[in-house]
Amino acid sequence: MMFNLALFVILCPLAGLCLNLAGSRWLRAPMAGIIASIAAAASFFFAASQLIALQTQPQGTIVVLGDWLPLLGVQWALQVDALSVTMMLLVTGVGTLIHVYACGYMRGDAGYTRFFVYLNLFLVAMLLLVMADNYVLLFAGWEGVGLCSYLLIGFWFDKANGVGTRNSDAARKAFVVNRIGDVGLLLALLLLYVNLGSLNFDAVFAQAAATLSAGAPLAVVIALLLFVAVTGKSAQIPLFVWLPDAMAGPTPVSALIHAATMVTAGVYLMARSQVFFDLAPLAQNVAVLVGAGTAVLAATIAVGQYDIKRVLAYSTISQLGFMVAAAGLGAYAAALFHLITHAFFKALLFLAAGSVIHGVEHGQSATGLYSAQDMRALGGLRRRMPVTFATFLIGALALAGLPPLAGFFSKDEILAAALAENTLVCALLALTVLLTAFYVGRQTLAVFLGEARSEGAAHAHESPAVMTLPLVGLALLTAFGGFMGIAAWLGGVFGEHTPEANVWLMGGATLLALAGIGLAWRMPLVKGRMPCALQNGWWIDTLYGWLIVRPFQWLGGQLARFDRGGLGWLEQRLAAGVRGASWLMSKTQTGQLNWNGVGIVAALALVLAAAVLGGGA
Amino acid sequence: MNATWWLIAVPLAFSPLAYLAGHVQRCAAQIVTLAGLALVGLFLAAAAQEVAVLGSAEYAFGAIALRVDGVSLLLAGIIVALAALTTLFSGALVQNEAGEEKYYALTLALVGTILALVCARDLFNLWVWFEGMAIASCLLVVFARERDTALEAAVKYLLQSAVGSALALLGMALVLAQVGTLSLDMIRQNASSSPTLWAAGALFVVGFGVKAALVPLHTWLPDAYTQSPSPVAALLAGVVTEVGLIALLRALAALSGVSNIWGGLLLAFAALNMLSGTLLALRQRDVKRMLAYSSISHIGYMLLGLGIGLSSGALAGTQAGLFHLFNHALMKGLAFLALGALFYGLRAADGDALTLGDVKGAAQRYPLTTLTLLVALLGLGGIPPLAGFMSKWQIFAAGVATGDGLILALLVLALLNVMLSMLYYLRLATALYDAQPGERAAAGRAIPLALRVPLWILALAVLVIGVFPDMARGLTQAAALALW
Repeated sequence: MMFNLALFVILCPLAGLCLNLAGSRWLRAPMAGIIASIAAAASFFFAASQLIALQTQPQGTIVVLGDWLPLLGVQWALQVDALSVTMMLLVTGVGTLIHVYACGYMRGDAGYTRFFVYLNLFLVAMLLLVMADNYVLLFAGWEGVGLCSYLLIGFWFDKANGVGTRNSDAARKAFVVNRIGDVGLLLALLLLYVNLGSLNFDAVFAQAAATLSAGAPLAVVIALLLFVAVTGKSAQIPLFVWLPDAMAGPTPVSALIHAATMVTAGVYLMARSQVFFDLAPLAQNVAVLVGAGTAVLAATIAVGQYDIKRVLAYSTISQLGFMVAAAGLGAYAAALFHLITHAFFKALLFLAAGSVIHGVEHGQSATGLYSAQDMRALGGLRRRMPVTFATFLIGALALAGLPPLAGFFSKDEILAAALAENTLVCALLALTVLLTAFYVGRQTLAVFLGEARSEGAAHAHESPAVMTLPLVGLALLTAFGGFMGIAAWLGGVFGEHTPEANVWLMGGATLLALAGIGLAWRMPLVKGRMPCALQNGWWIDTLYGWLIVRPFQWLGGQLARFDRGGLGWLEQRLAAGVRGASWLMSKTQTGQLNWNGVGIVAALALVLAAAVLGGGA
Repeated sequence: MNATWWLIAVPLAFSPLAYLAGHVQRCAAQIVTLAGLALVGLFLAAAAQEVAVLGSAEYAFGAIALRVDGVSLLLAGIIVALAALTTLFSGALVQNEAGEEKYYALTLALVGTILALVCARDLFNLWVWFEGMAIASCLLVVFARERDTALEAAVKYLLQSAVGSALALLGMALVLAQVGTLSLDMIRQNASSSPTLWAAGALFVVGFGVKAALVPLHTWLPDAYTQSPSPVAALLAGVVTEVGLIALLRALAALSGVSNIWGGLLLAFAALNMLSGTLLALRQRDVKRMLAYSSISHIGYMLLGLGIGLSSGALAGTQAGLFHLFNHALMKGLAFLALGALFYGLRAADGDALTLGDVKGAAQRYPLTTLTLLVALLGLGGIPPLAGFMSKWQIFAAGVATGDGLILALLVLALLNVMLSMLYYLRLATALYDAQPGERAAAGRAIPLALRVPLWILALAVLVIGVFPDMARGLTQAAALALW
């Protein structure tokens, strides 16, 4: 019976957003946030009820709500199983904390209500994505979160960020790049339907397992197309370029959408569609290489960033690379475990960074020279923002992968899986561990230690409790996430047993992380020059600009010219021709009766001739 | 004396009655006319019942046989309904005009002759009633007899009709000489292929074709449509022209066994009519004239469907052509009536050439009336979900189903015409919906309810038929079966 409550997981944020929409005229500033937060919390409560329901019925169930597209055999139906419940709890749990945080962070913003409407809408779409029992509904959620991401990146659409690009451009970039991935998903769906005759998870997976052999071309193509979607949504090579720019959105958005939940949808998709990846070794290898490559590449770029949020953005890409690589290795439990711990500590890091920005912006006079996000202008916040510092430190150490924090355990599982399968990948990931510890160490040092390097930093003050309490909550999850039995639970979900602890690997990874932190101590961010290549992200955006955007714009320009010139000329000639014919025709309407008589005589002659000549035909 | 007899006798009897009543009391003429039409409607319903049961309803009056079949029902339904609406509409329009009672009497006479025509079973009756229709309609065209332009238009109409009638009569003489009978059924059974009958068929096509406005026999049409009062123009465009076409088809159907050329001939005229009508309307700035020219191209669409039906033997083509005839009556009737209402509002006389500039921004002053005109225009242009789209669509579907290369080429031509026709329909529509009302629209007077109600009824019909095209299917299917 409890499974019937699954619908309420989605209905709560839906109700919240409807309430905020309806009352947007009357609700005063904190009310919208409170409504949205309560909606998120209620959703978490119902998600928890699903967890309890799973205790009695571990295989889960499908909650059918009604017919949707009978033509495709698709229903409004929610899948409640261990995987979806895990995601539900994560989305609503972390989501609730971030909602609460945003109540303080967004205070005084002109679009306060609009913000929370979007945030609730995002929850609805994300929950739809993870609770769908078929690919069509999943696709709807997939597009829905993309839309919310677009709306929230461009939330301050009338502003520009420090680099000079407009926020609306960043939003559009995210949307367009994601669209490339979406096409992959759509094509995969079409192939699925055409070849397997269904889009419902159960039917598709059973059919695939029954009819496709390992390495079957169809399975490989489907898995690769799905992986294209993964690279878009989860910001992998080559489609990761949108995520750093997405930092133009408010920081709670970066935490919720671009760190904890939406960007992990790709990993969820791989876990959900594991049948196809297991049948397609080629796609798995691609996933592993892309994931590991992304992890290293993004980590190197993170080293070269000065913007407090861009470091975290590249770090997110890098960590997503870990998850994708793990999923590619078939270690779905490890991937999901890291997805969860990463959601904890990366949301924590983003929110703490937001707290820093918030505090520094408030300490800054109106004529502040530096961006509040430029780490070169921060420093010494340890004493001014103690809670933020403490929580950020926990998040940073977890990201670096130091025991006993959550990140250590999940990263270790991935490294173990990689070591067992592919030494090269393991080496790449180990290098990433070193780099990760290095950049996050440098970031912590630059932001919180030393002396304040700007007026804003000197006068910064701690954020209000509504913001620090969620930080503390996430810090606790980060600190103890490794001991909450998540790994064992996930192992049960995927039928994988947790690999035995490899002391050498654990020790080695810890040493690497410590080495990274030591390096950070020796090479502080503010001293010395940053390599140009790292600052500019290996010029990948520039490269895309030259290879794709410019030629496309050129093509568009040429087509427009052709339209105006060639086609326009043709159009005008055509129009002139028609006008001429019309003019000629109008000359036949003289209004003279005798001329009209000619018409009759001519018609008679012609028809008679036709009848007599062709009559026998 | 059954329903068929009454069907024809009632309007013809009420015609002088309306005239006399109008002399006694001015407003009585309209009431008598409406009563007469209501009575005809009742008998039509009775005849329809009989047709539904027996397949046809016949009445023999000596040697003269009259028969109601599917075709008659379709046309009779159109004329009775449209005449009722135009009569209702005319109240405010011809009020206090000299000869008001004659107007109503002639309307009834027109209805009576048309009803008799579509029930005629022999060539002679076909011709007699055809002439009767010509006389009645000609007198209606020249209702504003003191206006030179109206007289000129009537003279052209009359003379060209007369020439056509003479040619048709000649054709009948040839048939009588060759086959020895004038009964359509007998001709159909006994006629064998011979050059005389081929010539007779050609004479029918040209003779009746004048009234049906086949290009190049159409030259009377723009003058007649524009010079007659709007309700008369609605009847001319909606019924009289189409009845000419039906007379042509009836005569030709009798000779269908004589030659295989008739279908091709219809298709050739379809092409001519579509193209000429469109091209003529394209540069026209006088809105009433523009609609008149658009009728020429719509005759082309009907001919296309009918020609497809005749040349390939596909019932669907004939049915689609007749469906378009039905829809065109609704849409063009609506268009001319709505234009008439605007004429009234803008204080324009029937012969006035109201240009696009004159009706500019009429929607600001007359939102609902202009909306009905827009419905008519979009329907004529073939925009879903309006009636005109459905029938054009069915014509296309029937044409594609034949798979004939020549027909496909004609369909492409038709498509181009539909496209080009949007150009002038939309030009009128955009003028009507100009945000800035023109001088005339700003100074317009209120349009009385009696002028507006018929518009709403027709606009609703155009929409309903477009959404539920099957409502007309029974009627058009029976007509298509009865035609060839």
